[in-house]
Amino acid sequence: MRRSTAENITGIVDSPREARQAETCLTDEGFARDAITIMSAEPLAEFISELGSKSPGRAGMLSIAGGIAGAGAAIALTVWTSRRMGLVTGGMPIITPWAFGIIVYELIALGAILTTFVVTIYEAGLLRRGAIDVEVDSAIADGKVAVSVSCQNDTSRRVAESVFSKLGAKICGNKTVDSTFTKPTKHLRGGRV
Amino acid sequence: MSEPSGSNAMTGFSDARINADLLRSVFRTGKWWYVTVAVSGSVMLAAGAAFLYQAYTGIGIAGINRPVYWGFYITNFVFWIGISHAGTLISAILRVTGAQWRRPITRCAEAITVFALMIGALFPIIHLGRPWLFYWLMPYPNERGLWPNFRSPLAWDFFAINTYLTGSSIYLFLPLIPDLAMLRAKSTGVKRKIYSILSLGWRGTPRQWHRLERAVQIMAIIIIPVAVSVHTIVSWDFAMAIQPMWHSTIFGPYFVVGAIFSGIAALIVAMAILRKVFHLEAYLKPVHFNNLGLLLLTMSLLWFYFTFSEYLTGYYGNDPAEMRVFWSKVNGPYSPLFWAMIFCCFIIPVPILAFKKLRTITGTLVASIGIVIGMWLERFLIIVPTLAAPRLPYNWGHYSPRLVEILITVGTVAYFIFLYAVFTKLFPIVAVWEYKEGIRPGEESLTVRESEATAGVTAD
Repeated sequence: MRRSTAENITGIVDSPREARQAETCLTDEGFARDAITIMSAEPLAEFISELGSKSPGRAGMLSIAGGIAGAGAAIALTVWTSRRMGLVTGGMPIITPWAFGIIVYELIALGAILTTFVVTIYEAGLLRRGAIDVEVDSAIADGKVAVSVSCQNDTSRRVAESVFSKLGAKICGNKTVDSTFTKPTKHLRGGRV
Repeated sequence: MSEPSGSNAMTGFSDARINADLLRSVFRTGKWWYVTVAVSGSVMLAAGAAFLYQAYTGIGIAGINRPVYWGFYITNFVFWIGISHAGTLISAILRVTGAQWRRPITRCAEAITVFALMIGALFPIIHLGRPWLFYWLMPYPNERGLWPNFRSPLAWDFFAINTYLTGSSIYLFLPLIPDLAMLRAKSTGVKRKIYSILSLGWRGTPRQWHRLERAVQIMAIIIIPVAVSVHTIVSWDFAMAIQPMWHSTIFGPYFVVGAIFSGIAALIVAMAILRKVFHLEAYLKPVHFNNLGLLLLTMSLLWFYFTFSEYLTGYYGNDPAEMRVFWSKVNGPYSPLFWAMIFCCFIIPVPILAFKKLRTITGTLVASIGIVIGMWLERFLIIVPTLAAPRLPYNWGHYSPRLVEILITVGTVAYFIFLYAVFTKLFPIVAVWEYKEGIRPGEESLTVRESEATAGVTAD
């Protein structure tokens, strides 16, 4: 299992508004915004819209590329099959343009669907090994919002804990209980206090 | 720490209450669940035995014979592919148009699609004389000298159904991931391990939510033309043949309309059962049945328009071969089924769905059950009468289903119920996060929108 050298301190708050407050306090204390991660059991528009404008993702463009790859696969399949048959047709196509069009249409869609799925898994940072704090996981499932901050040293850890204490947040450490898939994402390692 | 944890002022529902209600089916198993699984499992076993008997004895044990080569199996194939339009297509349309009332119904609709497609795709294999050689149907370059008949609509079915099944499964799975993470947090032992694997390490960060929502949007846009193409291609299985009452230019849209029609009806039946069994009255509300009822009414009128148009042009052309099939349906041996279809799909549902007072949960359920039966009859009436009366009179015949066909047909209904029961035991049938997102304070409440949309809608 890969581990980050930084320690994540997580504060559990009750609402998105409090999560925003905690984020503001942490950035005021010198933490980089990228070192702070909000986690919730439902999409929080106020945090997502910020990210959407900064990093819209490439799923849209890549799904088009996937569609083109699907079309290529359809062409390859039909052409290869025709050639493989070795049937003498006097110049007539074994596969009519109508049938060809339908197969290309379906495989364009299949290519786009599969690409969207794979890109989403990759861009969302899923399927990666790492630690999930059971306490945090459970709190999120109960509707709380978790604010996680990556601390590089004891000083930054103490600052983060003090911010969370002031806000009345419940503080969780980095207890590794379940290590299936999740690892802290890259931007969690960037605390600069 | 001023606000109460996750509570919603508009609905009065706390997160804990929503979790408890929507995850109840996963964590508590009632005796009726066991009864459902036992009964549907037993019927499935009987159907499995019938299939093995057919495979061992030969396809001649079924009622299909010259000239009616397609009977119950292909009827069921078309019917189930039609039912599959309930979920992904409806869910995708509602997502694309931003219909907020969709939230509690999308998952039960999407699950219908996946299961119905799985069942529908079984029938061409069941229909084969030697089902163990089913992979010979796949069009790919091979060493066996098999003709890869790309010109056959049956080969197009292979591509269309597989694309739709893959897309629908992913479309069901993606929005399920956050709920799987929730189940991971609330489970212990082996269950926790399984949900951990299935949730792919979901943590609910804004990046993950953003990517997920974007993916679901893209999938919704891609899946709509795929869904339309699937049933169009199924219609071409018939329309490409120069058979009486098959060779029609409107068969594509006629089939798509019929598929959406039967799909919505199946969705309403499933929702009514789920609402009752899992006590989801606070989530699957009269407004959902009302809105789906209105959609169903529109589809019923559209279906009747297409049916009328189809029969009128056949009648006006007065081609002897067409007229033979026409009269066999309207006034001949198939007329009881034909008029039962008209009653079930039009005469009964339209008055029920047209009047607000009748468009209750019970009303829409009655109309939907009728429509599901009527649409199965429609599929049968498209296939069998045409095959029974081909153009050459010396070739006429008839079809009556045998016990194996009836057993397998009933068995696949049981299979559908079984799959659905197992799904509800493993996953929440209402998308928890989507529902919560819709009732968040600070946004226009789902409840407010619902009540504004349907002032005066009653439950029964």
